Amino acid sequence: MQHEIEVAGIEDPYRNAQEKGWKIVNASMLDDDLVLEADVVVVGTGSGGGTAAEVLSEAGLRVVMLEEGMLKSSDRFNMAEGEAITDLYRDAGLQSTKGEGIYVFQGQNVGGGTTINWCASFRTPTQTLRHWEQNFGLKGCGEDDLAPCFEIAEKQLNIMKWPAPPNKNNEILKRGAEKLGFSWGVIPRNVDGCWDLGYCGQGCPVDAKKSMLVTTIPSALQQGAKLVYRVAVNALLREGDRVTGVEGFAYSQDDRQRTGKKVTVSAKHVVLAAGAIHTPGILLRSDAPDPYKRIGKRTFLHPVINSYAQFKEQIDPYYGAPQSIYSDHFTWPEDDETQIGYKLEVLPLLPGTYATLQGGHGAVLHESMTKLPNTHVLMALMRDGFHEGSPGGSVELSENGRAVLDYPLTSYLTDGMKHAFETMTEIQFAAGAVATRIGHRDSAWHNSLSEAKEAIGRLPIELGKASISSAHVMGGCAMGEDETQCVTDSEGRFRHLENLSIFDGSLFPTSLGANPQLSIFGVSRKFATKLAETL
Amino acid sequence: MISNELPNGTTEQDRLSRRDFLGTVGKTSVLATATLYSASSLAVLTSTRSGWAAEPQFLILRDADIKLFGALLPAVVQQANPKVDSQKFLQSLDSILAHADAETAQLIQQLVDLVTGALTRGAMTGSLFWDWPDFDVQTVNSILESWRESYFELPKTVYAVVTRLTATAWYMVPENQQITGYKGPPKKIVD
Ligand SMILES: Cc1cc2nc3c(=O)[nH]c(=O)nc-3n(C[C@H](O)[C@H](O)[C@H](O)COP(=O)(O)OP(=O)(O)OC[C@H]3O[C@@H](n4cnc5c(N)ncnc54)[C@H](O)[C@@H]3O)c2cc1C
Ligand code: SF4
Repeated sequence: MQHEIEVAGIEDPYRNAQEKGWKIVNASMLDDDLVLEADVVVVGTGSGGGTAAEVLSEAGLRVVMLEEGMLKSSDRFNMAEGEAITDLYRDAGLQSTKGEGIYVFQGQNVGGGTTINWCASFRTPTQTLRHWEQNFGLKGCGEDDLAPCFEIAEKQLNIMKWPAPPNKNNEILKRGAEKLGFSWGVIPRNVDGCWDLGYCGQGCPVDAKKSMLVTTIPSALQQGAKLVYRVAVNALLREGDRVTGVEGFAYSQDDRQRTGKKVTVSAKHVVLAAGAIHTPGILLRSDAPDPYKRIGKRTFLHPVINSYAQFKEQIDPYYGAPQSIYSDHFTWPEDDETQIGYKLEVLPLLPGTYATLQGGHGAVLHESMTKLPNTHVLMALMRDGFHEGSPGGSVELSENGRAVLDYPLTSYLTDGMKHAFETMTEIQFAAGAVATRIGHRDSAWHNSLSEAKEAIGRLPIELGKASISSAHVMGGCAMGEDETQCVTDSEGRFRHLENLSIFDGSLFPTSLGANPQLSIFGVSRKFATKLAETL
Repeated sequence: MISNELPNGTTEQDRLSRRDFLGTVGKTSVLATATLYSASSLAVLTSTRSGWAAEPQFLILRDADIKLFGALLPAVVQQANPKVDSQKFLQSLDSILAHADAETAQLIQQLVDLVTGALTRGAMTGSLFWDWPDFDVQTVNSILESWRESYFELPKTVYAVVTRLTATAWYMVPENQQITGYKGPPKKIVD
């Protein structure tokens, strides 16, 4: 059992950063404002920013990386769930869409989402690329165009199908799918020397996960790039139509207070990679020209709903590689008109996560929590954005200038969610569950499929009642040639200002129908390589 | 107020009458909360801002937060004796709010002010005279249920926010995680 394992002998790459000559500044410690100059300033160090920083430094450009979150690495990854949520997640895990709606999880640390994600690494589905080409005029991003970039990422990050047996949580998805004749597959993961512990979401304690934190960012630092963390970029600096740099505020180390110090970087080119919601936020705060009012519109979430099941066998849904089996049986239904597609996966269920996702209080919560070791959890990720019935959400600024997402539910989505609740429940009973409960405030535990289905039919799917979450935020700065819909061109260059590119998940014109990181590594590498040639 | 002696000195009779009270005032509370249902009135209610911690060991938590979440804890997590660990729970809550976006923390504290403040507490809890530390678990439970089933958005939002936050902060504490049967992570040794 994992709790009996001792993790030791790991060499944190950041341990001897100074001797290696890496230039790293903790903005929370600044005594004065910081003013820097660079060829390119990269805002955000997640999938998109981490990749871009490496490519641009390799090309010999002077790069500055700015990151809002903390720098924490394997020496300090102790697998405690509470510490991870406060130190590595945006808004300490409390970010939600407007009005206590959908819980939206994003990484906020050096490495962004890649430090805390669950390692699933899929190429962009062909159907999705085709849809973008046909509906958004995206050019040069076909399957063959992106393949070389995916290959580089797959090699560098050691992406391959998980070779070991799945943990129980994943095995049950496979078992149930097989029983019902649903297709399933093994998830490719970006790991090397994985100990099969299960703490990918808390920061991999053994550096087996090939996140940006331990791959592209060290490589950029090795090539002379500078990293400034604990600084949140507020806005772009501009001279007319030209972007000349960025300006941000330093934050204290242990809480969300501004220290009063400013960081200013002037640069020949600015790359925004603050992730969906927050890259559009920077553009909105900067009053960037937006003739068709597209910034922040069509932001997608792969909205996630869950179904829980109790088994006689011990599952320990928190131990072992978190995601190794998926099912695409329902991802691409023949007719999008009547049915939204959804992908099926499982998630690592630690106690805090379980409590957060369930909500509610009292007896039901308590009963569920105390059966955790025998609990299985499935999730359905709704493939939003491909049909007019799921137009996504829009990013707005609060009075204080904070980017928040408004994401209303539509009947197209909620109908699909009902379908997915039924499917998940069927899979769990087929795999031998003794009881199931959907992630809905008013759901009880049910001992039979018919009872459970009856309840699913009855329970209204509304924000605040159904527990809906997201760990995949995409869109809001669509790429493509149709300028009425897309704020960047087909290479991530912002249309209405010079010297500005966007290289992160906000580029996607719809959601993906697959976990996003490899898609982002791919486009960021492709666009950054192209950008480096022009600078 | 006699309140400090409660809930230990409370008789079943008191409980029942308070619950009745909650039932009748429940109707007025709906009206009262309807008038409160706007961001600007929320802003007016905020007497203190986040970051003004009550106790030196807390970064964010104020007296009102401690009072409310301390009272909610037993009703939300149903532990036999949650008082034992309430300090760790409050520290966990404090840490979450301190690391959250300042605006998130402020919005949450505005909701806390709404249900603990002298002007609005009566409407939100159905009790004009008693305060959170006086309520027994059953009363807190009834209040939570009345919020949950309310026709209005605001009480429902309060319900969703405070229960989730309470459960999350509690179950993020390593000692409390063991209640679920989770045996904890591997041991990490940094050499
Ligand atoms: C718990 C979890 C599990 C996941 N599991 C998987 C998985 O298994 N497979 C997969 O493919 N995807 C997974 N994802 C999603 C994936 O990690 C993200 O989609 C991806 O990392 C997004 O990349 P990005 O570059 O767009 O943004 P991010 O990786 O989110 O990086 C953006 C960075 O910018 C920083 N930032 C934001 N605003 C500012 C600012 N104003 N100034 C400075 N810095 C700023 C943020 O702090 C952050 O570090 C998961 C996500 C989560 C949260
Ligand atoms: S499962 Fe593997 S990659 Fe994930 S935290 Fe454990 S060792 Fe690291």
